[in-house]
Amino acid sequence: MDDVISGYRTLTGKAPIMPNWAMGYWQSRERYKTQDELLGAVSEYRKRNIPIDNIVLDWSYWPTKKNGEATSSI
Amino acid sequence: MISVWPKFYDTTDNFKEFEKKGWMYMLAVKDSVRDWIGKGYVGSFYDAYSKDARKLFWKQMHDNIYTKGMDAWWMDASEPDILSNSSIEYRKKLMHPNALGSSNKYFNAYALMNAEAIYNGQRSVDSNKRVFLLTRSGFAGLQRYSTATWSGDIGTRWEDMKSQISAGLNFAMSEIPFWTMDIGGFV
Repeated sequence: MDDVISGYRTLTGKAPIMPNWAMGYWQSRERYKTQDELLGAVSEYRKRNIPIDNIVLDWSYWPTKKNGEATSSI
Repeated sequence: MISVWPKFYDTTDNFKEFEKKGWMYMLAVKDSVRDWIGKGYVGSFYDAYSKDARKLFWKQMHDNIYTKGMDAWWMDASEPDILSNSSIEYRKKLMHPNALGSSNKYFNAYALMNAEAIYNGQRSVDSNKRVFLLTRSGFAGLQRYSTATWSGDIGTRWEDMKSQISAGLNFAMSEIPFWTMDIGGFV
């Protein structure tokens, strides 16, 4: 089986090591609507001494303009 | 970590940068396909099969987001999900043609190209920083872009949770070591 995996990886590429923090605890919700909300969540973790390694900003942080026109996802 | 879609609304400068080079799939705009957000906006997805389009995608992400101190990327809607729940035939049309040719031939590898764009982009500006990408779709070789995949918007029934077991195991057997799932929140 190891030979099979090794052969497959030779063909399609090796998997790099991921960052350590990615194996830790993540906080994510749909969704943080303001900077204060997101930063507030992180500081509450800190206040309560709950370990956290990643916080996630979900979609729709891209604003719509006053005339209702949309802006990009970037 | 931040969510970034391969999607652009047609009124935006970012969209126009892709469009003028022929790197934007245009059928969705021609058909005035509206998305499911708010009142519904018209837009489309960039052609991730073009090497230079991938560079532009990273450049926009870099200039607007990475430089503000972002560590990881959530590549949502990477099927590409140009119009949710449409037929396979229409989905093919919506991403045709691409830089490599026909969407009949190059239908499933979009998420791989999208991941390549970000992996190569980020490594080109910081070769000392490990990459983390989370994506909703994949293809053979995705593991080389330090990318994890999740099984998308699953339902909240026990049968949905049960089917995740075989989904995850089969995914792992495709040689992509990192896979995950939602608890299930979509009713």
